[in-house]
Amino acid sequence: MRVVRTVLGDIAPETLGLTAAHEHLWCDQGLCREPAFPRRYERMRLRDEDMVVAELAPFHAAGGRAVIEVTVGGWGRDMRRLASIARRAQLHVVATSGFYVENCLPCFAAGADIAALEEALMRELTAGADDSPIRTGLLKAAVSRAVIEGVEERCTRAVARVQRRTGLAITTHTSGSSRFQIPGGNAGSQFLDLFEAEGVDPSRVIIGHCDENADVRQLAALMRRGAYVQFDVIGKLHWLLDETRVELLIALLERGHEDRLMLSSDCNRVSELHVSGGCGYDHVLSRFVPMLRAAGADEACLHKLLVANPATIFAFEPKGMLQ
Amino acid sequence: MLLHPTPLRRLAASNTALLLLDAQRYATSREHGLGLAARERAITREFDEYYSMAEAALGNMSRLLAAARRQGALVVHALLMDRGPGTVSRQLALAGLPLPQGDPLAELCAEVAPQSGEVILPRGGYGCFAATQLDAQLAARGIERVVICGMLANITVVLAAREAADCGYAVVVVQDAAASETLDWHAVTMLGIAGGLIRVHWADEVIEMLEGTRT
Repeated sequence: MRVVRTVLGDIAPETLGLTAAHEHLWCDQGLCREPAFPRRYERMRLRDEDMVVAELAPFHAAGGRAVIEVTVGGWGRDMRRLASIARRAQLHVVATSGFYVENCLPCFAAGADIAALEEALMRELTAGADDSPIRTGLLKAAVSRAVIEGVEERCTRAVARVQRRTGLAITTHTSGSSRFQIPGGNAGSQFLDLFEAEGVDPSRVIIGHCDENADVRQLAALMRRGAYVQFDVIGKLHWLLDETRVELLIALLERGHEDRLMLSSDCNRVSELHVSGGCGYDHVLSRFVPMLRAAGADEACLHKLLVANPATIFAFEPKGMLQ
Repeated sequence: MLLHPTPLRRLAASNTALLLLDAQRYATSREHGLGLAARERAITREFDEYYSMAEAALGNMSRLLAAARRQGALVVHALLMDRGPGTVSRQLALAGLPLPQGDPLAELCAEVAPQSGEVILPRGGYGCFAATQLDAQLAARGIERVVICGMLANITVVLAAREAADCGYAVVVVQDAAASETLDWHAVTMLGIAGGLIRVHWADEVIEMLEGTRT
């Protein structure tokens, strides 16, 4: 029987509801190893449970029922904290195992071979993560450059091999290149090449951050190969204007790709939350969906992007030690 | 295919050059150059970001230099200098940057002082390649890859990187061994320069590439 594995237990996919497919509720980029060179940027950091619970209230009020939390080990994931947030916010929360970018990897990863990385993931998936019995329900791979190479390639291959053993979905972080740096704008096709070479079914893969350096041709090609394409930084206008996102989505919907698209806002900084005047977790539901609707997306289509597609991709059939 | 057209995991000393740009006192001392100009305008504080980057960059340039020397890679010290009538481009002259040969401000910083056998490349224009015979010198030594660092990142480093790429070299810009006028400019500069033959890395990564320890 297929289930979605949340931090509060397994649920039937059809009960997942309106889903934000790529968010953070508890993370700390301050744990990452960064060169000591002057920079001005706000680290990704959310470490205030009361604040996050309060910020999720507008999301719930707008109809949101599920959050896919994509923080992995190495930069502050805390399964018990996620379980507490899920209870208090009355939301389904799916946690993630896998690997983020090189400088945020757990210490052991740098010198580990693919088999060791694979076993580390399997331990989280079978016994629980972060010294808790709570299990994750999604895999993640990431790239920090224009090329999947070195330790990030080993981590990605480990994720691929765990996917084949478990059937879980893989979500990807593709923010390693600038707008015109590589064909297609992001590493999505590289990820699919690698995953396919490892025997992963592309229909179990989500290419994330597709609305950062978008190219409609690449996005359509990724979906033709079977992968899911995720617009998950909606509201972050330094990447794309939301109006551009709407135009891209409408173009992709007109090409018949409504079964492979998902939406989210990737909140990971206090400045992005309502408490600081930011868009908040409800931006997609409260402001972006009405824009899509006004541009011609019908209710059946929106249901697929927000409910049906997440229920399909985030569900898996637990077998063996994963039961 | 998984690889970018210019994958760089190992920088072989035999075909790699380290290009240190304009690590001269005028660009690194708060008492001179930009720092002096800022003080005269009563806007000293506005250059705190630049000098904080420049000081960190100089340290990393020194580490890169040591790694390149250990591995036997070619080292090129490029510097701006007025070597007499007709040697300075009108563009550079209009920028009001007179650095006559022998002027203490034209001297290279002690942290990256050249050693014998290293190439010293004085020039009277912004572009390292356009204003010198650097391309021919690199080609004669079989150089295929150029690691670029120095000051100012948003002016001469990006120019050198694009010139080198135009000449067909694989280029690595070392983002924490370079300094731009402000933190924001530096971030935008590094974001904008990457692509094609040009990659942007951290000094630690480049040192590992030079030493063959990057896995």
